[in-house]
Amino acid sequence: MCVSKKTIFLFLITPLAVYIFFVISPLIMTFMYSFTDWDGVSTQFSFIGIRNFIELFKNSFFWNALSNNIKWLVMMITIPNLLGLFLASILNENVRGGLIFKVIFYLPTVLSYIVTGLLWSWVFEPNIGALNLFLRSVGLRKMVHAWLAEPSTVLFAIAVAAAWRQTGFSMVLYLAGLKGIPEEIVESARIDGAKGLTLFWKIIFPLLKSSTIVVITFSMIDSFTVFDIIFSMTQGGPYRCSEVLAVYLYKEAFWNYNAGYSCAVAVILFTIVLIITTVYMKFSLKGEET
Amino acid sequence: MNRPWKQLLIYMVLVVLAVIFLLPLYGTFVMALKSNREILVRNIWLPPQHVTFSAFESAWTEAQLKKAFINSVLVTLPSVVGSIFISSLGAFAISRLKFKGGLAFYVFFVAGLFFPPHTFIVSLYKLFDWMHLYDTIYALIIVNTAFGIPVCTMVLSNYFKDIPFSIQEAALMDGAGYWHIYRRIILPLSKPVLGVLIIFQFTWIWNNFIWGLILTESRAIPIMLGLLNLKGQYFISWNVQAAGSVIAMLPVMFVFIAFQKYFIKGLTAGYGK
Repeated sequence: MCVSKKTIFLFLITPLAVYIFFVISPLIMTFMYSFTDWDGVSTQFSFIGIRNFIELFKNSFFWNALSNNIKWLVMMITIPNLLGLFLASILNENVRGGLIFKVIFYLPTVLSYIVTGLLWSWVFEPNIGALNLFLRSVGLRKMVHAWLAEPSTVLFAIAVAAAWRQTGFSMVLYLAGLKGIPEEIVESARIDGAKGLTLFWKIIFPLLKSSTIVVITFSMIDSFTVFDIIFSMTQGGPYRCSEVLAVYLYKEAFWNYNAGYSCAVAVILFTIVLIITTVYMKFSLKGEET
Repeated sequence: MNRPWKQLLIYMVLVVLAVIFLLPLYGTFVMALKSNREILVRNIWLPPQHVTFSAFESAWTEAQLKKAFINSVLVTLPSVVGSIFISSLGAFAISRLKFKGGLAFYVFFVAGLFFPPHTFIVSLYKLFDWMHLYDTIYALIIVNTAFGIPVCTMVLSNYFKDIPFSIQEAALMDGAGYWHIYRRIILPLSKPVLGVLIIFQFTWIWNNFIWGLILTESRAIPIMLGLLNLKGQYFISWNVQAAGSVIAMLPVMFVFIAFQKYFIKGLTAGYGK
């Protein structure tokens, strides 16, 4: 059966046109701007080769932002995913009221990061915030902090808020993974004497490999593109202690009028995500072959 | 012997975690129902002594969340329909019209899933400024539609390709054209996946913040930007901030509660196995 070229063209033309004009061409423009000294406002700019990139690698604010992304990544791979895995493994067995718990843990996932940030800034507020009130009431005055205003706690505090929103996502993915494990495997391991944590880490967890790969890949991509929650809670402060790459490049473009330089940061960000994606594709394609 | 103990322990852990998970939401709702005075003099985390909706009034009218809310409705609905409709055309070509290069188009569209949105902020700002669409809802509709194409194309192509080809061949025998097959056979058979996509696209676009931040400043601000502005304006009035948050999350909460099982199922249909 032969489909005419015209039919194919007619179906493809609209999505292609919209996608190329509003997604691909701005992407190309970003790469182009990254080689200019454009300020983002004036009509004139000149090409300056790779000077933005050289400047960027010398700039300590860039490295600061990148290292905050990496700290964020470590927290976001561990906290929500371990919690999600834990919840999934409990809720996978028939717990009474399991559905209600699933809904409660999944609920934050549908909220926007702006709402999430606002809600948690009340929890972390130093004077009447829930966390400090709680710590004072149980006599842990020493642990009271101005969570979002102290350099040592700020990134962790925001990560807790983000983890709250993210846990349900990994829980659901792990639940799906657990459903896919054949009952016989677990049973025969039990008969061989495996139980409790050994059973879980030696038998079940390795079988969840594909869920883990998906969960970790998404956490990695999310960690490098994180913006909304940090921007809404601290705007990167105090003293750039919570400034990540996306926040840094936004400020460079829209506050400091360094559009060209900002695009260079964007290109680096794009490349990092591209590398992660490529590795993921390799992994997941390998998984499908076997 | 140890079974009931274990059960009890598991329950306790679950309940403690559930309380921690619900605490910020609980706080929001109780704060939103309090007066300015009560916010200042009593512990804000206690239930309201006198329930009042004055904070909602302030947020809705004084803080102009009404405008932002309406903007978001006007942006979200056409963007959801637009992105799904446009993607369904491409997905149909990719998965139902067997032609060389179909896979290449698929990869081309789906690659967009992995583009960090912040890579685009300068060039999109410039593009819409040049088109004289800065600070209009059209800018937001276009961007949300265009950036919805990767995920919609991925989900729809994967769904379309599993519909038996025999139906299509029979229709072709009867002299039906491809538009007829798309419109009368494939789309009606895809209702479940279209439903899931509508729910997810609605949530994502409603919750989106970055496009509003770079493409609007006053007239066309969407709800999430309106909410952040409100936070700056009503810095001390947590009740107004809380009421604003409730207003901003209400549509997605409603959708979530109504379609809760699609959320938990649909997500796993989209990614991985």
